[in-house]
Amino acid sequence: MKLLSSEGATTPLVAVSNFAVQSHLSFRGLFLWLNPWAYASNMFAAPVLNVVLFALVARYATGEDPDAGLVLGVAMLAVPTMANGGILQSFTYERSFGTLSVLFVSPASRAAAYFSRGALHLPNALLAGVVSLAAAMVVLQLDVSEARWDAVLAALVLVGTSSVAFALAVGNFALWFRNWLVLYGASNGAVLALSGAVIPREELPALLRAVGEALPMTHGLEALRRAIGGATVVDLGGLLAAEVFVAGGYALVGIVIYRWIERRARREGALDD
Amino acid sequence: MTAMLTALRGAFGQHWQHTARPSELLFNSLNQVALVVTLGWVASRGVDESAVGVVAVGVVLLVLWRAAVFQLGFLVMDANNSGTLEMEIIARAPVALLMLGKTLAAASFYGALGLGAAVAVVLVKGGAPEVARAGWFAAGVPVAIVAVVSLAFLFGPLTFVVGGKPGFFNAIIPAGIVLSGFVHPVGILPAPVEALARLLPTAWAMEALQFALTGEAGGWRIALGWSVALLLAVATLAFSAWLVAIAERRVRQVGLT
Repeated sequence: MKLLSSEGATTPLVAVSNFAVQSHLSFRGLFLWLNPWAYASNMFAAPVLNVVLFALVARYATGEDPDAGLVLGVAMLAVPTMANGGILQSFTYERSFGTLSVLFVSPASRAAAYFSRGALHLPNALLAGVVSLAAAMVVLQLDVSEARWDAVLAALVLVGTSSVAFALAVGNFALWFRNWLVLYGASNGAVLALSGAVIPREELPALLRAVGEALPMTHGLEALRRAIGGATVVDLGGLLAAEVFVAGGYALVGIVIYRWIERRARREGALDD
Repeated sequence: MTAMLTALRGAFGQHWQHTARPSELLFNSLNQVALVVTLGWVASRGVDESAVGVVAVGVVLLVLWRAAVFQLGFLVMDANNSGTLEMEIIARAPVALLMLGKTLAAASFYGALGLGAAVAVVLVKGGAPEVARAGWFAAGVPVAIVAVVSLAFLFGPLTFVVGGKPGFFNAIIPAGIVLSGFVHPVGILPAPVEALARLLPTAWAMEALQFALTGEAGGWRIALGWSVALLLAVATLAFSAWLVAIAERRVRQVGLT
């Protein structure tokens, strides 16, 4: 069986194989946190410490244990944070390591190339969310006695999917700008402040609330909170559908921008100004 | 002495140019302000008025810590990657002094950013915090800055000595925030964690600052906090300088890798 076809992906099997190979190689080659120190730091230590930090401040300010909504919100931030970190740097290093030009002159499917950059970051981001959730349950005694786990799983997977779609879309700009940390800071900051993870969305000004509607995690997090409280998948249909819509929107917009950047680069002979 | 000061000033100026750029300002503003505002919001939910004050003051040091560690951790690595480390080692000025100059430049830039973050918290709260012991508080701020800078300085040589890996700092930063007590008293940490925190100059300096802010403890207790913080800061700086020497020796023996 040929894994890579020089004539492009002509059969479904070759297409799937190409996608798998690209996903694997881009994850291994462009994700620089994939070493024991950095991986443990980002996957385990940082999410847990962030949950602990917010819990400490809440306990100090109110004299009581932080409420479950806050703990869940901060725990779930691990998902978009991990997706953003992994995917944005992959886009940047794709260019700086010199493989982007090779990709642009190859006949490979652009959609496969684009989405493969996020494929293995999805399970990675979901794992970060699970670690964070487990830490909230163990360290902060988050009550999950009434949780509907099928609904929790559905919400978590959708938060991961929309986070990856969002990071891929934003990653396009990492091809354009040189400093991916600007985009990383902006993306994480927006989700932290506007998704309802910490500050309830009803307390935000109308404009910021509207921005939050379009961010990944906003609807999925609300679904997750209700699922922990006992809501079923059917009860959460609207929220889950909204998260799917957000993910689909970013996927569509992202691939359009990706193609536009390629066309612009071909026309002007440079990726940036 | 004049040569030393010239070297220090040169390193400060070089790193200031490297740091004070629109992209740095944008990245740090977006990244820090969101965290600071959300922390301020959490603190403002409580009935304890002093908690918001503690957070408003703490975020200045928190921002300084987050940004400085992130950047200082890559001081030696960046110099290596940019091709200037070799010249720094060949130059007669001690490498540790050059790194200190760069550290001070980063601290100045991010300290200003931290002040902006404190204003953000005050805006969330709707007014400036009341300070119980203004004189002690004013004198405690430089001590806290020295403590933060000394601890952040440690990560430059440390990263290089252990073969710095991208992404490593993402756990160090929140760990430092929790253990230093920038936005909460270290006294509310579990006993074993508090014992660990007490090894850091920042924990003592922040506690003294919080005592001055809230008036919970007298002058002697604040002075004790300053003393321990400064002693630990000096020890940390000395340890950092020793690590710089190790890094320099390694480079001279095995070359730049």
